[in-house]
Amino acid sequence: MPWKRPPEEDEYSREMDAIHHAIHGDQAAFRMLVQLYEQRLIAYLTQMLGDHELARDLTQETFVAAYRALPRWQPPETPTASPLAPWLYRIATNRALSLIRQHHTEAMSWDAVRVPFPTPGIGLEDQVVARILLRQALESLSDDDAACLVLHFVAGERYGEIATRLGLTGEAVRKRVARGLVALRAAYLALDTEVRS
Amino acid sequence: MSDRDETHHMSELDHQQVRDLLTDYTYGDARAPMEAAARVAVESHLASCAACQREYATILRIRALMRSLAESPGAADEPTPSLADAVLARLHESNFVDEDTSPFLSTPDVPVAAWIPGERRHVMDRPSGAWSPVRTDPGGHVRNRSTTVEKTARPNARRTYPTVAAALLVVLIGVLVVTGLWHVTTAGLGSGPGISSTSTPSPSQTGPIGTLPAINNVPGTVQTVGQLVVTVNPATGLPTQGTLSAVAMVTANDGYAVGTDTAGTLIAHYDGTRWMTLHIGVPNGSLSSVAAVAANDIWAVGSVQQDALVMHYDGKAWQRIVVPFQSALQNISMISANEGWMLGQTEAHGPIVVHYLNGNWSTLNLTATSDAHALAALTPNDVWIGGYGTLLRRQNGQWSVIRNDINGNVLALTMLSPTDAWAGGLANGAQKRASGFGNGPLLMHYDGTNWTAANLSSVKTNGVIYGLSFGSSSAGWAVGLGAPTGASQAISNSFILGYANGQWSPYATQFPAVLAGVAMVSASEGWAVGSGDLPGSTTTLPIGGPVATATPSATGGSTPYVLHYQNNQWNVYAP
Repeated sequence: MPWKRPPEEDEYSREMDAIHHAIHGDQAAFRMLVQLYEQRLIAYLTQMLGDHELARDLTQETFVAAYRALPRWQPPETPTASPLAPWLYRIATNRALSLIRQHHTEAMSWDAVRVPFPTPGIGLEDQVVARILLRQALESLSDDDAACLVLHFVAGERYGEIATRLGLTGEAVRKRVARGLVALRAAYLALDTEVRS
Repeated sequence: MSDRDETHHMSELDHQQVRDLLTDYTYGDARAPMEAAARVAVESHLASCAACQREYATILRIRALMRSLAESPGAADEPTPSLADAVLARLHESNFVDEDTSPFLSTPDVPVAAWIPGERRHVMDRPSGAWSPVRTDPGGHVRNRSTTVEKTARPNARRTYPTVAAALLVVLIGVLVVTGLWHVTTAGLGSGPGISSTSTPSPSQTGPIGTLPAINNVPGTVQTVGQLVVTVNPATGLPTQGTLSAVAMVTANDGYAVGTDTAGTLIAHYDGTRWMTLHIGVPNGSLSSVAAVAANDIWAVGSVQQDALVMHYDGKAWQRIVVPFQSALQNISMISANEGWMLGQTEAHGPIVVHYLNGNWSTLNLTATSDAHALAALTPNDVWIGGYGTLLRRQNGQWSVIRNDINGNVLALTMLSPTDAWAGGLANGAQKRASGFGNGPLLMHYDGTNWTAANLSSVKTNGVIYGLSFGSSSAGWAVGLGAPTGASQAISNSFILGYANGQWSPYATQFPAVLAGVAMVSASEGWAVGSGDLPGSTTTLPIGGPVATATPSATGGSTPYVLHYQNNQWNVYAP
């Protein structure tokens, strides 16, 4: 029987139900999961990579990988509104960082940083500088640190929001954000020195 | 949880305190609750301090730059068409199944997150269970989706439901799946500036060093670990004999405690419900420290017959990593999946520091001290080592002695931020407490500039600190071994000090155990591990002077001991 969204359940049970059906090959259920998360993941990866098309591609990759590994997924201990979120963000972050590091090892110069359409009101130069800083900081951070950095400094989310999203404690997020700032500051000071000399 | 409790001296903040508070200040009330007093103090300091103004300006600039990326091209566009069709088409194309894709691993063409171009690495080829060298595809790019998918697709793979069912069953039971064979991997050897490396890259070694038995974790039954046997206590799920040396938590529901038992290495896993002994290990080995980078990235170090023992869990299996140096290891601290430090002790050369970076190992003999035990790393520039009378710091790739006048032995370190760290251990005789035998505890705080002795005026008994952990910057615990109090003549007595409201004070209850490690998952929850005495034990006390090892030596006379902190109290763990 094709899966249909149950009408009167809360978000958590609805999502768990969809996951259960998706594990057993129900495409309609998996489609619902994709639609539930895709905009959030695309926005997140766009902020991380600065490239909307690339973000869409990686989001696709994320869902393909997620589908295959879904049988091994473990639900959170306590029901939360988006039980699949921490896992999807980890896959997406891991892939984005692999890409960033791969670009780096291929010795791509930072000149190749793409900023095709400057946002009105924000200098093109600022966005290029910001993109360079972010990439340099991300390269040195672990997956979770990187996710916390992007979600806090770029997306402007609060510690509590990030904690829920990534399935971490608030204190763990605070520590990871602190590490993120250390990395950003180091990249900023290095760049500042470079520009001045 | 509360962010900072520093309001008590808000009127006279120094530069470092202001800098600690600047991030919260910059992000305003809505983001990080900050007491009004703290805001006023920061503002008044800023008004008169040019250096802190510059620092504030830097943070503001970074903040503005990062926020500019929120409006990145494309991000503010109208919702784009759903990816659902494309994703389903790709799944269909690849026959829906790939057993090997783990959500926690990199893309198939980038098997290890930190890839070194052209360098040979060994990864587990799951179906055959054999190690095979792989090489990066120089043109391999995640965007090249057809290659990615095709490479991982397997024909007739729809018949994986038994696997799926088995995986679900295992998840339900809450048991870690460990199948396949134990294998040996070799990492390349590298060197860094100012670091003396040992040898050239070792040739790869492959081949099983022991077969893992099928999972059989029924408490009370006799189980094999390698070729050895360990008996599990039905009440705790832990071996009846042995010692726990360290604990690390990934989340409140995922943690590891390590040590040694009668069979060899002891690894126990906490799954949110209970602790269970894992049936894997190295015969005759012992583990002294564990670091949790992520659920799929756990490191444990120790020794096997005076040689280095490094074990790693990648989300699928524990592996022993054969390392290119010889030294019993006592401590590990990882700052990311790709970088970390280990502290060891060699017979010939004394303490050594091992730096792990992107699959490379380099070693440095610590000549500054003959006795180093504690290690904590936060960033490459914030790595600290503590030893007898000594604190060393690594900065810009170089180690330097920061303090060599500490009146005691530093046995534990923890870093909360680059400007907030604690050191604990055993103080020298001059700091003897009023009651009990032995010496008093050593506790010091680092504020980014100076290490200063903590106020221990409310601590009246003697004890030694082996473990430190903070659930927040204002709430933490120090654990170790204390002197017996009252009529108790038990050999091992816990020593627990709590830090709250800017004060260290003794925890009311003493447990009949020596506590070697502690890990808080938040200010309100945490774990402490160690060992208790078995009847008739003759364990000697590592108290009363500089101790030889950071953790009590394991003997057959001890039993693993676990305390759980919850609802504002420590209790003996009982599932």
